[in-house]
Amino acid sequence: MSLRILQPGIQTTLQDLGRWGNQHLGVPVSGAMDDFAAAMANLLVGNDENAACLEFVMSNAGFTVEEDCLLAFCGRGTEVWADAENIPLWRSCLVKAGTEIKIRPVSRGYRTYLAVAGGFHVLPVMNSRSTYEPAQLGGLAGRALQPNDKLLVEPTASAISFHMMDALARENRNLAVSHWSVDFKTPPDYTRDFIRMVKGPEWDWFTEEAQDRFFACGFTLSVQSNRMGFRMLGKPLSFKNQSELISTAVCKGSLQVTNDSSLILLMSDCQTTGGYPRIAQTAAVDLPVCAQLRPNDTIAFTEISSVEAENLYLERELELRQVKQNIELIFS
Amino acid sequence: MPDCDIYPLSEKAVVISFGDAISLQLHQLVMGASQVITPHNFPGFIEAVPSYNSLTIYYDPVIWWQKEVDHQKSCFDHVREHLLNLLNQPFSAVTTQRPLHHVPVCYGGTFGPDLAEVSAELGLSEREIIDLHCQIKYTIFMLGFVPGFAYMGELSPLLSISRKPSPRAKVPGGSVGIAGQQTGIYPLDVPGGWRLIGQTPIPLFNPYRAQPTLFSAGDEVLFHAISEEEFHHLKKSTP
Repeated sequence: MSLRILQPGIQTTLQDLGRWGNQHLGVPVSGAMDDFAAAMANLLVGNDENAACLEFVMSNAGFTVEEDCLLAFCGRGTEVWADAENIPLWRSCLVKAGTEIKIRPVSRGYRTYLAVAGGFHVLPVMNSRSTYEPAQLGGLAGRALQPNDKLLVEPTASAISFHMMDALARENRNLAVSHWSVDFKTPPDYTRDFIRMVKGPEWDWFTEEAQDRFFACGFTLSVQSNRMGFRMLGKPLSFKNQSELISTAVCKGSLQVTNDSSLILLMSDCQTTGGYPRIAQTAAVDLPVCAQLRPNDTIAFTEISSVEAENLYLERELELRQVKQNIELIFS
Repeated sequence: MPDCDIYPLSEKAVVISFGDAISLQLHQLVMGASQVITPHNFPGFIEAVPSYNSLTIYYDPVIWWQKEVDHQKSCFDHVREHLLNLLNQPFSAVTTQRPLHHVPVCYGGTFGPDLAEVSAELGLSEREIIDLHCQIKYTIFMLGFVPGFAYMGELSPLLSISRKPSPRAKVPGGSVGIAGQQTGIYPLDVPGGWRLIGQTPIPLFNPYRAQPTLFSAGDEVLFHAISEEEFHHLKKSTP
């Protein structure tokens, strides 16, 4: 089973939930920018949530499936077509061999994830299939997709995937969309225009004016943004006194202020350590919302305590685990 | 127990900070703590990342939520208490012998394109700079920036120099740089702002090896100068 890439899109990469366990060697975690959408796409086709999936960035892309294939698209920023039929996002569906899938940008959102039953077959590098382009690690030869790439799918899918496929195969259509979906109680609110932030370890290094500005003014995502980090444009945030931070750990969601007082939101491919003051840390449950921002989108920051952020994260993680169990119960 | 400050970095990361300076003494506490806190005694442990003066532990808070009955306290509070208990055991700076790496470097010329400029700026001859760079046994404080990049110190104060005003778009892998009180080697072709004084032919990062990086935090490094011929010979004989 394989996919033949006709049109690769811009920066389409294979990603799982990250290359954990290697940060002490300076190796970034990487992984899906919108980890919620990637995990859901996998669960919808009966995969482990950490299976490799494709991360499409809002752009035109297309491929053909070379055998019947159970797949699911999750995220935002695109609409998907199987020949002339629309494939709804956040649903699993069975497409017949030879079908051409087209991905087209829409006006909101930025990243869409494709999971296929079994997961994409690439060898894990340092315990992950995620692509990290700067060091050509993981994914397909450590790079983004190119025209005519052939993506292999793992030959053995789970029993859950097979039961899902069986149910849809009976419909005998070119595109059979599942009748069920996941009613998630605490999904990311992708339409919101604010991101919840916990004050960072160096919050007190900033002037009162900068602290006020941080929660009062909007910030705009610069076009100079990538999987490593987002440059957020807005009013400058000044330090009380110019002291140097000794390089220490940073992670996805850390908001750093550089010497020229610009704001950088670290994302999946970020360095493992950094030497810029950390003004705030993004609530983990809002990182999928960040991942769906597109250049020139403006957002505001609101304050949340670290305890609240932890509670929201636990709530989301426990629900994801519950959804996985329910799917296993129903389809095994 | 050494003085330390424990604070959350994110929902799944906690930082143990031992002080606000770059010193061997603080770094030994960091490495000591990294030996005391292990997957065996820390539920939900994902990984530990040492830096100059702090150790960051990544963990799964769901494990703590399921493990602890007292949900009045946050998972972070439980984690913090647990860390204080672990660090309360008799534990001091690491004393075990750390690996010493002898790293060959071809200095100057096309291998170290900034050596002449550094020499002019510091008022030292190229020979003096090479000797000063080779005479100190450096400690690796941490790996970061890119896979396998080791931050080493401390450099001779005579070699202390600022970064380049604007970074190079591409530093060749193997380049040896200096900046401030630090020295380091770029493992890959990446952008970089340190002054380049030489290049090593030995590979520093290979993701397909069991130990992907040549160096680990806490290791020691001694540089020695080699000729261009030796450089090419070593480059050919190492994979």
